[in-house]
Amino acid sequence: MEQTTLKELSIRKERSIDWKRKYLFALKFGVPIFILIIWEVLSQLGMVKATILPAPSRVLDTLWSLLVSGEMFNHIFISLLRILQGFLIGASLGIIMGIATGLFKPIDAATTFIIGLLRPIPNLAWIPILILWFGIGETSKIIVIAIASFWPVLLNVIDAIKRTDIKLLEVANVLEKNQKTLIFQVILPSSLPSIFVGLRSGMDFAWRSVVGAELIAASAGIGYFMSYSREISQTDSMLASVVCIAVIGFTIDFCLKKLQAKIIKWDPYYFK
Amino acid sequence: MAILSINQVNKEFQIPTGSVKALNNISLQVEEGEFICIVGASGCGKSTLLRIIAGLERQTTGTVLYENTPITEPSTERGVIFQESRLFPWLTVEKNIEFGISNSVDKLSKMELIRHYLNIVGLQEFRKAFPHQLSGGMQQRVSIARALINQPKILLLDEPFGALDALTKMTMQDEILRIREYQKSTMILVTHDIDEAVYLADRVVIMSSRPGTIRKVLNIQLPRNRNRNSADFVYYRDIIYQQFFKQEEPDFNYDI
Repeated sequence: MEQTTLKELSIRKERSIDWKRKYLFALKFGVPIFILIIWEVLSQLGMVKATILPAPSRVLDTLWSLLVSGEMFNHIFISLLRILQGFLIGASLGIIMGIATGLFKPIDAATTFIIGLLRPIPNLAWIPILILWFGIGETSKIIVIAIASFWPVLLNVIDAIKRTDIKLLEVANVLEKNQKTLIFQVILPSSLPSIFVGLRSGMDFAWRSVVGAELIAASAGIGYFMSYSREISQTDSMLASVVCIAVIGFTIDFCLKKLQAKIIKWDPYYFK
Repeated sequence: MAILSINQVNKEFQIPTGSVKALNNISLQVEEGEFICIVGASGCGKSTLLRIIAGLERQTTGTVLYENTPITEPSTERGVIFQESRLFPWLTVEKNIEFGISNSVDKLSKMELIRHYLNIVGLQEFRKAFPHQLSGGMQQRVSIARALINQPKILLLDEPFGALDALTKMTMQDEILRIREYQKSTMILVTHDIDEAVYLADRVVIMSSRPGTIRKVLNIQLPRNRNRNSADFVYYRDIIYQQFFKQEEPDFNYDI
């Protein structure tokens, strides 16, 4: 008697979970598609001017022709190269400095004010200074991106290191482990999930800064192409490059998440 | 000669509004091979006392001698098992146990040791599992293996079964006794479970709170493989209960 009820209950529960999953899946794709349809309809009806906001179909059309002609690929490739270089520099500095700052009190003390004061400076504000120091070549553009991705990585790494569970540190202490074991086998592994969050937002910020970086005397790159399209009032080309940045950014983040799942397969909170 | 000698230990904690006395004039001699249970309400300083013995905390005044030397820092000779299993979530069961081994052991003996202790705690099949895939009891077994692997002379257990369900708890208590038979180590176990103390201990140290003081030390003169429901067992349990709660006289007394 009781068993049947229990079984029934679990079936009912499973069904409701199944239904909930389908519902969430529908929302995930349904809402963006719905917004696109509204946008398209409003444009077709002439309620939104094409020079202000072209219809999604028009943007896709333009994007398609830009891709077919290869022009867009060229811009994407050049920007991607800059972003990867900038991110690599920014993220590795962020990780190294973050670990040093998180681990060693004197370094933490020495950098508190420097980090606190430099961090709020807007990315665009660096551009005149960088042009003065490094000229208008690739270096300045890459450094703008590096600075942008440096801060989120740094903050997340420092926080992760400082947040290492004191209970696990005690275990290592009780087992008479030396400083090296403590750092490499307790503190760093436990910081990995947060370091990944830092890397992912660092990558985000790298993309966000590409338009600014390519304001510096660029003649190619997706950020440059976007500004250029605006100048000549080609709203559809401008939006086409926005779409490109969004899709690439999303894809890279997706890959980073997959990589995270592969490296940190032990994290019980993340992959429930 | 006592393996552990605690003499007039006081411990004060500094908090923003002043200082709190956690331990007040604690003295206790522990003989080699003894099983001591420290019983007290939460906040009576029993865990603090254990942490001082472990070397994780320093007493404010008084001396704590391990084999006649003052304890100043943790040592693998004094193993610790905490209430939470405190396993490293990124290491598999066998890697977690391996973490316990001191670095001086060579790789081959390491493998041998791990296999041996996996068997002792009965987790051979789960050696490749991650901690979050195990039940609470199994996790605690791993942490016991990790603590045992250096063959500590004293094992300090801080409410090790406090988070487990009643049945698992009883199995684990038997297991601790079995391990003790085998390892011949001295045991100091902190608990708030009176039954647990009577079941396990040679001597029960009863502590009272604020400030933590030793109220009574009770010898449990019962043969091993104790029956939790025997009259003698209940007799000891009652004595300890009376230390915590004022009780009316029982209707009848047992004859021992």
